[in-house]
Amino acid sequence: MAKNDFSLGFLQYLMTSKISISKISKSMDRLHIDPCKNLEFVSPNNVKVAVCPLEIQNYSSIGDYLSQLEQLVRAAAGGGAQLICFPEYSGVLPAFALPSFEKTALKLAELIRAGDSGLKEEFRSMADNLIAPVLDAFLYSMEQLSGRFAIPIMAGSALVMEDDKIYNRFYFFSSSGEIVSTYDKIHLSSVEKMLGIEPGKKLEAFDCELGRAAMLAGNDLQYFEPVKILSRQGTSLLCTGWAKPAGETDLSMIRAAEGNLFILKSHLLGGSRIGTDFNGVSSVLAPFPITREKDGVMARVTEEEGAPPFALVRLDLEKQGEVFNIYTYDTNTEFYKEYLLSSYEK
Amino acid sequence: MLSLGLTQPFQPPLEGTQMVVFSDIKNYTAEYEAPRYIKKCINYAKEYNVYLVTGRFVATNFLCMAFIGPDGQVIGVQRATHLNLTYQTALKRSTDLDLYDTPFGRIFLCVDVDIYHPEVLRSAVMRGAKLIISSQYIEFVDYGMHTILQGAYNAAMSYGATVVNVNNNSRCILAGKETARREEQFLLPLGTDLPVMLSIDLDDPAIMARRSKLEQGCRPDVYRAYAAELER
Repeated sequence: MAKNDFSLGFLQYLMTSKISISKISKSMDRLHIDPCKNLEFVSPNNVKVAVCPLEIQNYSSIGDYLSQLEQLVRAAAGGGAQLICFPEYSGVLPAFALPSFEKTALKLAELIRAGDSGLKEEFRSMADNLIAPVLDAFLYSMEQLSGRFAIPIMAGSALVMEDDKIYNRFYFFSSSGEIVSTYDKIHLSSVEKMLGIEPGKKLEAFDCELGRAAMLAGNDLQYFEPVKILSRQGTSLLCTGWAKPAGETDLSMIRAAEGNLFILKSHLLGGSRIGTDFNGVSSVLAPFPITREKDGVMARVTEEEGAPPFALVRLDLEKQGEVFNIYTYDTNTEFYKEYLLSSYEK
Repeated sequence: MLSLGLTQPFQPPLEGTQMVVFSDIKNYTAEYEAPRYIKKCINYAKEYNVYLVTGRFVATNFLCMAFIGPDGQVIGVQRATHLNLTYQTALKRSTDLDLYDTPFGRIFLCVDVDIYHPEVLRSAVMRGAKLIISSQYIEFVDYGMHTILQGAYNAAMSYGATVVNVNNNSRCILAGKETARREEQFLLPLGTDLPVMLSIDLDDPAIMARRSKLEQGCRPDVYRAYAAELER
């Protein structure tokens, strides 16, 4: 245990020195980022959004990590994007700038697979040492990218320690680099529960520069309830980040139809080196009648040669109000009051 | 195991069928014809010694489906809780939710557009429904894969249930188990001709596993805090 504490303490020292705010700031300055003018004119019937998947990889330095993000944001901004979405756990990626972090992550993955009783303690020990510096690096990077490019960014999520509890927290940055909203994941995965991550409790739509938005994690989309709640709060743009294990069902297209809103979904990919296999197709989804092929897809990231590593599409948010489906439009409040909430006690 | 058969109305089922679902091509049997229709259904159930899920009919201004036992007893009638908006002036919405226990498991009859309403499905599955039998009418011009995805497919996958869907354009049976490949969820694919019979296991461990995972993952403590939004 003592050796483990020392190793992690040393890791934290390395983190602090390798990914300091001043280091990130210098890297940013070297990238010569000028603000884009994409938000000079915003019209709800002509909003351009991008979803950017991220692949888990080792970085030789924090500059590499920043470079990866900057290239994506620059390309999306160059295409006219007025909002960019990143995946769940993008805030953990700065940790891969440490050469020994992969080993730590691999060990954790082995404990998870074995259902080891010491898993929570091991994770907690790692979290106590690493969460703060990794989070600082992530938030500062996203603050700088959104502010310097002058584009709102749904940054994805990171692990956050608050009042001795660990949350999987999503962040939305404005075009001036300010945090507009956060969301703590409500429907945790089985692995997150094993690690002792604390589930969130709040579902809140918020106003962003493009309209009414909200955030969810991909796993939240297995349930209709959060989507309906956010839809009733006026959400047009539901920004979703997902670290989806291979083989897990994706119901996001159906939720877009059910909730009558646009879903911007970005996936975390890969991770085979640390014993995970995240996959999924990052997409922008809409109610079926709005999409050309009636398939719910406005745009998706493809692996075609020459295709950009993100999906960029124009949305007409006013079409959301024009969707009138005679099969789905009806409501029955009396039924809901009598049966729905009491269902969960059965 | 349940040997489930899908047939055109009053078409003889395949041998060995234990439960029949009528796959009708008309939107519903009108109220004035309903008594004769039900009588004919009762005779059918007795003749072939099967449980029978009827097609849609109107009774006392409600759009209904009936569940009839092999002895001809009408076990129950489920009334639609939501309506196709074209029926709104003529028909009423019910606030009933009835589940029927059979030797194969608890079933729920999902009338017409109720399949598109997650509140109904959540309420039925959390009350033990393992088999959802959905009978709906979809205008030919409106029909497409998306009508199945948002309806029967959604019902199977979001709640971990076995779903039978019959409509005037197609029929299918879906198993709500965890898999990334949509084709694996169709126990009976969409283009199947009638009559057809399929043996289905309502206690399939893969379906039960998904259902259990979903139910355990529900957050009623959060949902209650947003009752105003959920109950609208």
